[in-house]
Amino acid sequence: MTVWYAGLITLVGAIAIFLITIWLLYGATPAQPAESVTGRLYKVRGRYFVVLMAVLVIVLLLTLRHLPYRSMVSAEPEYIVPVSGMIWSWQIGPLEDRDGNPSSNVAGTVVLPLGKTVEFQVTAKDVNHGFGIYNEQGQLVAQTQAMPGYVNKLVHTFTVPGKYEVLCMEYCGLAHHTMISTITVE
Amino acid sequence: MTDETEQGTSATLWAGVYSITALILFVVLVLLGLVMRLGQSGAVAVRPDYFYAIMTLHGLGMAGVLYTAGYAANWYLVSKYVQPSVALMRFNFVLILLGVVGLIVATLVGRFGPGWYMLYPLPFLTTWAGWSIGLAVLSVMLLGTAWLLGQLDLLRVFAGKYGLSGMLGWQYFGKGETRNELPPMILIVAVSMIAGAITTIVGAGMLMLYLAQWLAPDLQFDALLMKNAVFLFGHTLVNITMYCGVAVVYELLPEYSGRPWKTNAIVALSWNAVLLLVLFAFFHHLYMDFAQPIAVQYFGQIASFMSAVPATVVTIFGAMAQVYRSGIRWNFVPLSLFFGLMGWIIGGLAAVVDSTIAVNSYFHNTLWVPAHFHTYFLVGFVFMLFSFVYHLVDAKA
Repeated sequence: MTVWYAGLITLVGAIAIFLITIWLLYGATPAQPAESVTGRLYKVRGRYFVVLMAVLVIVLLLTLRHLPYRSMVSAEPEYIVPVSGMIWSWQIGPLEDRDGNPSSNVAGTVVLPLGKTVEFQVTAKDVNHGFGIYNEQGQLVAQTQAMPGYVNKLVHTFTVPGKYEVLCMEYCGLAHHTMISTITVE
Repeated sequence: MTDETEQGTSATLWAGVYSITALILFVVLVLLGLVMRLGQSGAVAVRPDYFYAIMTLHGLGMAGVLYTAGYAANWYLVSKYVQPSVALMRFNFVLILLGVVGLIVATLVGRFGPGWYMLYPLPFLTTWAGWSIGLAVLSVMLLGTAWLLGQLDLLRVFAGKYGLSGMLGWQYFGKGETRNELPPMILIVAVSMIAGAITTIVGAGMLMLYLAQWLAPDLQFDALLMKNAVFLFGHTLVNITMYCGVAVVYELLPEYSGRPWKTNAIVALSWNAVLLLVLFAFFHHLYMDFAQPIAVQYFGQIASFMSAVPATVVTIFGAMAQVYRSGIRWNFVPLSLFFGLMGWIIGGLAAVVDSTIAVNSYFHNTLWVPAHFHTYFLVGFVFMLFSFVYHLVDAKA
């Protein structure tokens, strides 16, 4: 939904800005002295500034409460998945429970539990990569960067079973576009 | 010929040389963009090493060409008020030309292809020729040197005529009549050049570390620190390019509307706020680096949101006051300036939306980002630049 709202706001805003521009082009005539329009415009400017600031402050207050960072996420992860990006593949897993005990995943496949909160501990071995998880419809469900020397903790709860694709979301060299892996959620 | 007329003729000549060179490079770089799109669609076969080398040249080239063209336009228009150095402009042209040739050779011959922001440590990957890494870094350093010298020269002449606080319009904050009137264009260019100079110095430091690692491959630097540095430099350069275009609008639109566009306390306050906020907006490039301190992430969103307010509010209403019921004749120059402002605001709206961390989780490094900067460059800045070039040619004719 976030994506739809963001897209809608941008589309409606862009159309509004375009229409105001066209209105102004036609509003250039008939000519009147500058003094007769500036006073009114400056009044509108003051109001516009106040309304714009109010909108931005409200949006800031609403959106800054929902950050993807580990310490901001209230759900306590039940499983941990180490992830390492390297040129040009992903090493994902093995899945561990909170106490560090490995789960019974078959080697080479990554199966994550449905409805359980998972913490991906994402890093990189060589250059920067981007860990992006896409669902079967090709929609991005979560992402974080994979940076050498740092571990980025991404917390996510899968609510839909199926095959998910992990795509590299930071350009990392000649075969970047082939750096794809899969995760199964069941 | 008097000194002043001579300066005027040289200014026109060099503004013309820079503009023509920029337009030629712009067209070439657009064609490279087209090659990438044709390659992606499968219409032509482009090998990955060439594709990414072209992508790197397209990105670095466009950022550099558009900034340089914007700077040259500002340099020419401010010479109505001050006398920046023509000799430096000539010298910088040589530096820039060398930098451009170096980048072309590094990318198209050496196939250097780490993308326009050369994110550390990707440039040191050895799938491209080792020499191309050093050549590319040195070339960007040449460009950065020319940009920094140019920024400092404009600040030098502004400070000489208006004083350090005067070029930022601080005289408007006092009580009583303002004696030393400041054209709004000088204020905007001063803000852009200060932000540009500070961040170019950071960029220079970072490039020196790149050069050091190229010479001594065992060296290793902190990837998060380098990412912050590259975006402080790169984001701000691209951001002030837009302000260079906006400065052109402030200077040229009054010539066509017949109404003066003056600095007042609100205009001065707004652009001073821009100077403060523009230096911190780059943090939004690191939202998906969860290791970055959370306080910085908060600050990044607040700075990104707020940096969109002062410049746009005073500029939108200033432009409205310029044209509404002014009887302006809509020929190419004012029309292009006006559409340029529209493109800037639309592209800016897309940026504010994406600079919301909760939204960025879904938009970061997706096509939303190139869509945003292509909108504000192609529908915004390039319109303003075309306006300037048309004005220049028209004035010459």
